[in-house]
Amino acid sequence: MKMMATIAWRNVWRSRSRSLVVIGSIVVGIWALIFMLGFMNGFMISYINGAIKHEISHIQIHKAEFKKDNNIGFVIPDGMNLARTLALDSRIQAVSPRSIASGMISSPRKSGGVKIYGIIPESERSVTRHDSLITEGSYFKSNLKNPIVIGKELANTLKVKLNSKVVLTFQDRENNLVAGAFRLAGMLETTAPMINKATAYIRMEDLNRIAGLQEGVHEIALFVENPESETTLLTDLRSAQSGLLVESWREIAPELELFLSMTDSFLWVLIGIIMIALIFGIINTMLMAVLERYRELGMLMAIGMNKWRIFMMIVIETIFLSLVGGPVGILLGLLTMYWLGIEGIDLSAYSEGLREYGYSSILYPYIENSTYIHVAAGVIITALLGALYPAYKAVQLNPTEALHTV
Amino acid sequence: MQIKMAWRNIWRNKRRTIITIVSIAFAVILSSIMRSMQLGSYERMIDNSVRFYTGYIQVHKLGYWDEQVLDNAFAPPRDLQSQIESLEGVEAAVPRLESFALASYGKRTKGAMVIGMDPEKEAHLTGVEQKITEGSRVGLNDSRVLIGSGLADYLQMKVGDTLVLISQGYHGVNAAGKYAIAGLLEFGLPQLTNQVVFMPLPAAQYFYGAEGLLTAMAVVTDTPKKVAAIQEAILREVDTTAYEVMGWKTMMPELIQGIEIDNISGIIMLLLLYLVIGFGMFGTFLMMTKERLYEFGVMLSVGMHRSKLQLLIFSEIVMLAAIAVLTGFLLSIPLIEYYSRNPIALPEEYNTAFEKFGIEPIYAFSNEPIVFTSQAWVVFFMALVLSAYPLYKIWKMDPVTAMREGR
Repeated sequence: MKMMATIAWRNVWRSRSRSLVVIGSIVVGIWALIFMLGFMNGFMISYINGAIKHEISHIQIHKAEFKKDNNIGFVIPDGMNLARTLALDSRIQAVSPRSIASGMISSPRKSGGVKIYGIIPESERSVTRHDSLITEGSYFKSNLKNPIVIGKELANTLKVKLNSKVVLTFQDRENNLVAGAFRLAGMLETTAPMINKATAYIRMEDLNRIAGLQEGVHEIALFVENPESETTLLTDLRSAQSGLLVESWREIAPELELFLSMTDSFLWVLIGIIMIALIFGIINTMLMAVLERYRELGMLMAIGMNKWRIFMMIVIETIFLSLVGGPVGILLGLLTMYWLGIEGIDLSAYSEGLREYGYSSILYPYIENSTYIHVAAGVIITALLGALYPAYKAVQLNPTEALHTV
Repeated sequence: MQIKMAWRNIWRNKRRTIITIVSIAFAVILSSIMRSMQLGSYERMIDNSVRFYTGYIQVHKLGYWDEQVLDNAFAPPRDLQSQIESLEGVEAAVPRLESFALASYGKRTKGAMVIGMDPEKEAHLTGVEQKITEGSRVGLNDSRVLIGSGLADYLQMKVGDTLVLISQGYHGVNAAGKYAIAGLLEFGLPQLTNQVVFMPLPAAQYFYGAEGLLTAMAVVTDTPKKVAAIQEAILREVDTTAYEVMGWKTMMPELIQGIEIDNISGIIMLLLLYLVIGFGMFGTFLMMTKERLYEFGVMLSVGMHRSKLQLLIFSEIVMLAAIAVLTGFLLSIPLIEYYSRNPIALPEEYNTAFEKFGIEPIYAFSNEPIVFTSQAWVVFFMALVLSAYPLYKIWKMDPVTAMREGR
């Protein structure tokens, strides 16, 4: 076996250009797969992070009934105190209690359905960071009475400007229709169509006064300090707050799951296609290499090397080629990912549409460390499979005929 | 003579030729499949969001789209519907009167979207009757309504209960009415299921005080391919100073952009595939050159001019590539055609997420001709570019060493 390995190793370097092509295919295959996975991962992460950061947060707490039926009566018992206690937990970065009503927003020109959030601007700002997304006006900084912040798109549909008056109509705690006039203090533009088109933010004190809620809150949104502690925090909260519904972003936003499924299911197809392309490239090159070496192989057989050894020799050659190509490919992929992870891929030319779909315009490819190994293993196995047929072809040789062919 | 020699050279070593042809043909097939799946997923996306709600084309009063209020409704000329429906490729013209209202039952109230529609025509667009999960369909002259099951759950209503709608009607008149629920609807899009009220058109017109008015006439076409032509034809038929005729691309710019973004990643994936394919093809070309070093050396030493030899090899490659690309092209057509008719189902684990949104859990394939032709051309040119290697080799070659090495 040691001799076989020596022969194979020498064979590899005897015909340098051919070996380099096979090594090159392996390197390119590994690099392409790493790049593809990194790019798609970056796409998914930027989408999900955008949604978590500005829209749904990591964890939301509701009274269980409120989820099924957004009735304004289903407040979290002693919600404000709960929010204050949660803010002391070191695993939680920020807490925002909100009261919620669904109703109608009307300007003199048009009306539409909205979800109305009563918020405490200081807390809300630290959770959803909406103050950084204000395009016009300010985030509850002006001295207007009854200020309201809505999405720019909603403002455009309603044909209202800063300081314009809008009327919110919703049901109060006794299920009477109540209305309040608000002054437009700011417009925001987020990555979430829902917020841009159909959400209004007002001060909690205003909403609760009109709705007769006193200190009642319907929702507590939590932004976790470290995403890895999310699961343990979730179980802790669930056992501590048994009467409440504690949900993570995965449960709150099933469309994120759909998006993940869509991208994920497609990714496997892409990987499959690239692997098939790779295996074909390798089969073809190796096959030609074997056919080119008819005389040589015929000679080896004629002087007594048996078929099994010939077969093994070609397979071992491929293993050597993979062992050279694999690390080079991984290194190249690693460098590319490292560089792009810092520089990012600028997609700002498409940013309008990107935002609509919840992406930020600079994309940072990302890949988990284990993926490198999986990819390399996959490609090397592919290369070995690709060598089997040529090796089989080589074994089929008839030594005398082979020696005669030019 | 060049051509004849090239042709004979190709078939002199059948095995080598076949390997090369297979590698190129395979490249065409693989890249066609990839592109077809990408375009197929876009077609599915468009179909899901356009075909099931807005329709591919809509006719409105001029200015309605920018300001979608009831006051911008229009009284359709008597023959508008029949005119549009008589156009070739039009399946149906679907009249709609859409606006917003507060829906309430008992002590609960929620914002709802009221769509006044002609049940018979609507069947061509949203297929509203197939979406009924409970209860029965409504007739055009019914005064009962169909509501989204999400809305019904919220209001805690059942079939047969009476819904109260309050809104502002045409030119500010007060609109209020009571409607019995005929059936519940379930749509793929949660936004629809949670807020939609489908009302027969005459009842809706009466409710909003908008007798004889429509906000939109949506056009359903046989196939998305005819949209542009039909839009042109409608533009010729209607008075463009009073009406606007909009295609889905104008109505749903986000969808177009969403596709464009996805297309960026799609193109990047395709380029990666080309890279891998290119390497495979390059490998075969390189081996071919190596195998024939001896032959090239002999040709040069018996006095063939280098450029002649290059031309000979180039014509060989052109022929080979042409045959291969054509083979790949011809093989990919039935393959993709088959899968576009019998799509592959997604792995089980993804089904729930897709079904929740009413999207078919399949890998969709597009059979647009552009899929095949574009990939065939790309691979063909790739082969031509890669032929630079053997040509360069010949240019630099020393006949004596070549003959020795090639032996």
